[in-house]
Amino acid sequence: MLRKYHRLCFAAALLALACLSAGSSGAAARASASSKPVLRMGLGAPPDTLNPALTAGGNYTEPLYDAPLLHMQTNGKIVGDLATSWHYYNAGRGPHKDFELTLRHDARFSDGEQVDASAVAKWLTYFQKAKGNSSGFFGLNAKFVAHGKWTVQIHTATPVPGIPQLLTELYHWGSVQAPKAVDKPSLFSKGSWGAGPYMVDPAQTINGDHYTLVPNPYYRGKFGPKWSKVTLKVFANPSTMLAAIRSGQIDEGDGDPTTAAAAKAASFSIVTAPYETIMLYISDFQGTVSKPMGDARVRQAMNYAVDRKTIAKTLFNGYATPTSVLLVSDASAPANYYPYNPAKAKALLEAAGYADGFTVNTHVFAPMGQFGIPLFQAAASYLAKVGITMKIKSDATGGEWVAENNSKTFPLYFTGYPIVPTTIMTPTYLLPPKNNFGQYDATVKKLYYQGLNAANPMPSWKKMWNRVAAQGYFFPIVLQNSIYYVSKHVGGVTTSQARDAQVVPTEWYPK
Amino acid sequence: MAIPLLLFVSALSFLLVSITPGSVAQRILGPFASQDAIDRLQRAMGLDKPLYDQYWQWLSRAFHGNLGVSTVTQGESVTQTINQRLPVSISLIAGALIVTLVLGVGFGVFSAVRGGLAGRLVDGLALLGFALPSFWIGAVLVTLFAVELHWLPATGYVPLTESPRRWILSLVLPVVALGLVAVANVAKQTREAMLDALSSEYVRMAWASGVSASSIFFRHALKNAAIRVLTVIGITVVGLLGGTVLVETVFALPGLGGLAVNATSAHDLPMIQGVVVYFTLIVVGVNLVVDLAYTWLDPRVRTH
Repeated sequence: MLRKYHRLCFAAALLALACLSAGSSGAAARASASSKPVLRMGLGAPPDTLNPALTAGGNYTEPLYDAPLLHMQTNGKIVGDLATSWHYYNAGRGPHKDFELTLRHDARFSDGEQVDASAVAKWLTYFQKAKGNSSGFFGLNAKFVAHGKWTVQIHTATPVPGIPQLLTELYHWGSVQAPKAVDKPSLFSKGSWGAGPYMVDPAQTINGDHYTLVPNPYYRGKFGPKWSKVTLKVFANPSTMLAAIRSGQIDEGDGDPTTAAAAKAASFSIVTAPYETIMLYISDFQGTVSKPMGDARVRQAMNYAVDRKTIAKTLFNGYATPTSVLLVSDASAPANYYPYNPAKAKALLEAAGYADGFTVNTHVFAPMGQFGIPLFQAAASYLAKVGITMKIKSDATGGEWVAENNSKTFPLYFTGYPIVPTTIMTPTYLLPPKNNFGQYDATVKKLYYQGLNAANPMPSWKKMWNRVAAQGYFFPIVLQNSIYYVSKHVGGVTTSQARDAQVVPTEWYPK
Repeated sequence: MAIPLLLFVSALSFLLVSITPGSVAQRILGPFASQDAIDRLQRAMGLDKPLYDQYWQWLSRAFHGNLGVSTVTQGESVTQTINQRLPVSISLIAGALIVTLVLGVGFGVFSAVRGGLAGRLVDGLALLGFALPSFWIGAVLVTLFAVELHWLPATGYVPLTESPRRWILSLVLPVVALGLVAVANVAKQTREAMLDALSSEYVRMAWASGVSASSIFFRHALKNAAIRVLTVIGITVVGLLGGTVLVETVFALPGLGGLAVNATSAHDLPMIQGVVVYFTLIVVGVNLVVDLAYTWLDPRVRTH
């Protein structure tokens, strides 16, 4: 009996020892044998692809392995990275159509190839043809030409005033890739091919779960590797991300309004900035499948009917602000264009002939968490008070959401878009053929092109956005903040509205 | 039997994926792509062909051991991706199975032998096990052992080849979360089977013949009860396979369950088919092992 007891005690002691040593494993992981520490990042979703030309959304880890042509600082100022100088020039074809940039001479891709003008022109040409989500930003049939070894010229068919912005890490175009991968894009499934300070190590990576980045031996830029390696771990569930943070497994992670308070309590700093307008886009504004949506007074009434301040305060713990217009970075209408006024909403509905209300169907992308179904259920409860019944269908996947948009059965649909310049936002929603019903407002189109062809586009674009707001083409509720959790071991993590609320991890350093 | 089952399951999953809304082309081109662009990419990927044609092409390749490449990443080998993740799921299921066998059978035998309060306790535990979902158990375990006590890692997986000690530690919480539900079921079934065996004629004869208690419990009663327990365990393994999907999400483990979820969300048909084939092979393998174990436990099965 005594022997049994001793064996039990020994086993318990072994288990306790193992557990205690596990407790210190987090610290051991950070301080590797190398003098530089490891940066451990937590992502809410994996990078959808390592090919920047085909990425569907934002991926703020991209600059770690893909150096951009230009870098946007937190204050919105654009500085050089792979390019040293850049400017529009007048080739006699009108403003903002001809652009030139000069490259630095010491940059190399992670496969050792030189980043020269022919590689950059090849990449930009491929990007346009790849037909990814951002491929239309230079308009149709833009030309990208190498002039000599270090100069690249861009010629667009229509004016593109924001080319420097498009070449930063924010819009993927500037994330130049090695010619070998451009010639054979299937190589992106096996690793990264950019010129950033790190490169993906396929041997230590499981696509969709975790990625290990090791220093790029050919990197010569100003963001020289500050970490011995960077690990990107995907946590699909915010609670799992929070557990990883609280147990010291990661140094930085994507945040969420529901877990921010707990992350703060675990001594993580919260880096946050306004990011994207969350809204319903009334794409059937001519009333094809829902007659009431064809009346501007009805759309205005919907916008007046919702108390956005209360929704933002109660659902998002301060990580969202109310907005009744789709916000852009250069010429927005005022965010409080439609203050909460249910009496006015009822009056507008009565004037439009819908005093008894009506029913409208929409669909919302469920995986958006609080910013999805709960947000629009709250909005629907306000609409119900003025007689509008909004039926919400939940989309379980992105594919289902896109399929429902294209089904043309919903007059309005859930969407969100970052605060980007007019040149990006307008083609995304307001010009043909992007509207899923093929509808567009001729006045909006005219004002957009008027601005585009003017030396100063702002007066026309301000008029345009005011018209968009007045017509109520959008039913926005809040401006969502991006949220990042940062441990005390990491410095330099900053973000701002001027930089689309993005963090750029190449700026970070160990503390 | 395995080949018709594989054919049926793969055809069914092909059909089910094809009728879910959305497509891989939409996933690749993003939310603002036009229908024209989506149609063009569908054609380029051969996804505009009739379903039976697509299935036949997949099947022809699969018969030669080629499960194709991911349509989302357009180049990632399905077999390679699954093989990368297979050890995680196998470790998880094997660990959970060991926990289930040791604790489930142990509790069941103990409560059948001791009866009274112990029996009621096992009943209570079984009810609790059925009622508590594994993801909830996982979340509680993480809060207690990883966040508060810092004894075990909250998330992630360390390969056995990298560090055997950290491999075990990374699996403790997920294995317990996955296994506890099954423990309850197996304990309950073991207890009932043991009680039946202990009340049978041959056990009474054994007691009367002066056979030792341990021999009666373990050599005679448990061996007979094991046939029923084995059936439950066979079904349990299939349940554990399904349970890995949730547990892998809660613990951020790079296993097949998470891969199945991601592939389904992305409409990555070759990847989904690959996971289905692997899952089916695992189920077939488990059934084979259970059948062999039946013949070992009860030689009469061989003669039938």
